[in-house]
Order: sequence, then structure tokens, then C-alpha cells
Amino acid sequence: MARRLLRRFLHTAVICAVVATSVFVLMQFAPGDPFATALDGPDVPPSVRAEWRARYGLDLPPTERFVRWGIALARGQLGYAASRRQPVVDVVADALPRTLLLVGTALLLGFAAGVWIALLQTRHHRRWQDRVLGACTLVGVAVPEFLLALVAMTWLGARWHIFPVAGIGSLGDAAGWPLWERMIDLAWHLALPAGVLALAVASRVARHQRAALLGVMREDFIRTARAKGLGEWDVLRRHALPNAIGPVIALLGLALPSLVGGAVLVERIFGWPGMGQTLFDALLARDYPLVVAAVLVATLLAVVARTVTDAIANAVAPRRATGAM
Amino acid sequence: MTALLEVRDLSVEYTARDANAPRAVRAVDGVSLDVQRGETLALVGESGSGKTSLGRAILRLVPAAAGSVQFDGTDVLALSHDALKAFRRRAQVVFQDPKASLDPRMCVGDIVREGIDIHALAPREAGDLRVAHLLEEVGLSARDAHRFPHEFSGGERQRIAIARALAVEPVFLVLDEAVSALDVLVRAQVLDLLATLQATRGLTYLFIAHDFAVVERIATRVAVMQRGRIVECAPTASLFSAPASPAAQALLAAIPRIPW
Repeated sequence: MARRLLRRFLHTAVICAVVATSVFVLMQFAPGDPFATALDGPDVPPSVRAEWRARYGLDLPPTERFVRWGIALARGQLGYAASRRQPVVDVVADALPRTLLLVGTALLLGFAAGVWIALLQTRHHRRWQDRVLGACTLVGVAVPEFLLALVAMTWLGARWHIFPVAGIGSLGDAAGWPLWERMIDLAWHLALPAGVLALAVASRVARHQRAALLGVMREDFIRTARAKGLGEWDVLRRHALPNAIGPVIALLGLALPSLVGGAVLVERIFGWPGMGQTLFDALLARDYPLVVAAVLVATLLAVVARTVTDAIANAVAPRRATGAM
Repeated sequence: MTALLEVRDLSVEYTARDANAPRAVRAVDGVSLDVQRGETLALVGESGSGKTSLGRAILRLVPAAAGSVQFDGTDVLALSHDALKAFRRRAQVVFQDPKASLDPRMCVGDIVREGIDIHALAPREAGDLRVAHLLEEVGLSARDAHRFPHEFSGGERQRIAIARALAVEPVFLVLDEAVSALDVLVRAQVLDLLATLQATRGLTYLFIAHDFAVVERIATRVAVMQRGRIVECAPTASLFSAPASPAAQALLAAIPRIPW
């Protein structure tokens, strides 16, 4: 166990190093730098430009900057987010919990809904319920999140005023509200962005879960369960689902990076001040340290998610846990 | 006294989906048979002759296309939801491959226990005791209840499948190639166990097999199936000494001469 953890940790370190290096190299190829908009106008004298760039070390050759930056990063120094006038750590500490709330809610809701849809589809296999739900999940998989987000925002937000169009909390005197009112306010603002992401998750989970369930339903032990006298729902719930859910949980861990990718756009559209929004702004501002930090956080999130979902998949599958097949 | 099971003109059809046009394949074609209380009727035939489909249709595990099944005076094919559940208590099944027929995520105790719970046959502690007794009755130990199916050998797994079927105290068992997947020595042991259980519990068996060798030991009567129909049905001794149909003669000729 300790060896496995150590291996995981080393893997993670290598992955992070590779990702950080790639981001650094890509940023070198991208045109512009943090001062491009402010300094590269015709009315700024070249000496001023050179002075500012020298102050931030941007005049050094890329290789030297890479080494210096690598050493600082290895020491855990994420640097200063110039575009936010804040240390990178503070920016991340602000934004990360909001993204975790958004993605976590979407993941839980989407997973639960997806499994339910798949159970319903399997229960009514090849009947109209199965076909209608199958068409819905196909649309859910095919339509990109940002489009869903815009549709939801236009109709549920702007037209019908059911949910707020953007933001994380009501403005004005909301800060003075009692805790539970602020929580309801937060949930109300969370509903649209989390709902849009949850729909995307639910569609993918449902399609995989349905296929897995249908595979298991052909097994002999399902026939045994029916012969015992179990109703069709109990057969599904007690025998088919436990045998079919493991791979779908593992899939969830693998799907998390793409969910984070979708969250970037959804956060942007709904003005949700999380990591996605932060990364987007940092990219536009060429705020290198912040970009690297945001990407690294996403990477770590993906690795942690994989470890956690593997552990859960193991826990719901005692057959795998006991080894010896 | 009437027969426990009366099957009349039973047909089972499957839809073949491989071709462009779906067509009905008749797996069982107008079969009639009786099973008397306490006897073992063996159903023998080559692969694909429809014996497994017939067994499943009798238990309503696959739908019947035509015909009737009378079990102890009630029409099985017309049972309501609740009545079907009651029927499941009285008629049980053991499948060919115990590795596939036991839920790999459930421990043996839960597998055996589930039937007891579904039919509310025993409260909590009495149920545990009953599981322990059942496991001992089929030659396993009460401690095995906490282990998982994959930890057992093929023969032991089939004993678990038998204990699971017996848990609801049925009067009728369909043994669907129940010993076909076992090696010769284990097969003999399980056949002995089945004979003992039949004697102590007064069970009635429908014993499905593809070769005659095992049938001779356990069957009272033998029905030979070919292409969905029963071509011959006779007491075991007379069928073995004078098979009338070509199908029975061919199956008899195929018995390997292995001393038990």
C-alpha cells in the first residue's frame, strides 16, 4: 500500500513537471507578454519598454528563465499574479473552492441522474421510454456545454427570470443576510451553471451505464435472481447495478479533466469566479505564473479524482478488493 | 393422482435479429410432457434441441409462444405478479455454469439468504441459522457464508447454487445441465448429493442433460428431444435397453464407457 502510494506520488510529480514545462513552452510560442497591451504602443519610448521587461526578467533568454522558474516552482513558489496584483496562492485559494463547489455539485447530480436514466432505460429496454431517453442523452453528449449554457441563460435566466443570469451571489446587502439565506442565494446562483454541467455529465454517464447494465443483464446470475422471485426493479438494483457501476465510476474519474474544460467556458458564461474564469483571464493578460498555477491545479485535480474514483470503484466491488480471481 | 407438472403443446420462439428481416426461430415446437411427483424426468438431446428453452419456459424465465403449463393444478403461463412470486418459491432452478449463475459481488451467505428474504420465510437470526443448515446440507461449512463465489471450486460453487435453490424450500427443481460443466469425479459427488436431497426432501426433478451417461444414474424416465420436439419418452431402463428413435440410438452410442 505504502509502495503504491509512493508510486502514485512520483507519477503525479512527473505529470506535473511535464505539464508545467509544456505550458511554459507553449506560452513562449504565444505572441505577446504581460506588458504587450500597456507598453507596445507607438507612444512609449523603447527605453521604457526595455526597463520594465528587465525588471520582470523578461529580457533573459528563455532557457535561463525556464531554469529560474523551474527552481522556484519546485520550491513551491507559485509567484505573483501581476494581472490581479495578488500572490498566485491567494488567487487560487479564492477561486478553487468555488470551482470545486461547481464541479462537485455537477458531478454528484450528473452521476446520480445518469445512473437513474440508465436504470429506467434498461428497465424499459427497446420500448419508447428507452428510445426517448436515449435520444435525450445523445443530444446531451453532442451539444457542447457552452451552447447549453447560453440556451439556459437566455430562457431560464433572461426571459423567464427563474434563475439569475450570472454571478455567485446577490449584490448589495446580501453580505448582511443570515447564513442560511446566503446559502440559498448561493444555491440559486449555482443552479444554472451546475445544472448545465450536470446535464453533460448525466448524458455521458447514462450512455455508458446503460451499455454496462445491458451487458450484465445477459448474465446467468440475473436469470438466477429472477428465478429467486425478485421483481425486475430489484433485479436491476441489487444484482445488475452493483456489477455494472464499477467501470462507470472509473470513467467518471477519467472524464473529470474534460469536465473541468467545460467548466472553464461555463464559468466564463455565467460569470462564476472560479478557476476556469481565472485561467481565461490569466491567458488574455499573459499572466504566466497564474496560467501555470491554474493548469497545475487542474492537473492535480484530475490525478486526485482518478485516485479517489479508483478507490470508490474498489470499495463497491469487493470482488476486486479480495484479489485472487 | 395427477402429475405435478403437465406441459401441453408448449412452443417457444425467438426472434433472430442477425438478418435484415427479423424472423421467428422456433426453439420448442409443441412439446407435451408430464412430470410425476417425486420422480426425475430427464430431458436429453443434442445442443440446440430446445431442452434448455423448454426448462426456462416452464419456469416462465422466457415467454412461451403457445401451449399451457399446469403446475400442481395452476396455469403457470397465466399467473399474476403475486402468484408468479409464489410459484417461484415452489419451483426452482440450478443452471449449468455456477461461476456465471452466482452474483460475483455477493457473499455466499447473501446469495443463499436472498430467496429467504424475498419470500419472507424467516426473521433475521433464524435466517442466518437456516443459511448455515443449508450450506451444511449440501456438504459445505457454515463458515463459507462469508466467502465469495470465486473463492470456491466448480463443484463447491454448484453446491452453493443448489443450496440457493433449496433455500426457498421448493418442491420442484429444474436442473439445467447442472452437472455438465463439472469434471467426472465431482459430477458423481454432486449427483449423489442430488439423489440424497431428493430422498430427504421429496423433491421432483426435471433433469436436463446432453449426454446419456449421467442420466442413467438419476432418471426415472427419459425424454429425448430433437429440433424442438420430444421424439421419445420412456422409463430409463427400457430406453437404455431398446431405444426406439434414431436420436436416442445416436445419443446412446455416444456414451463413453467410463466405469463410475
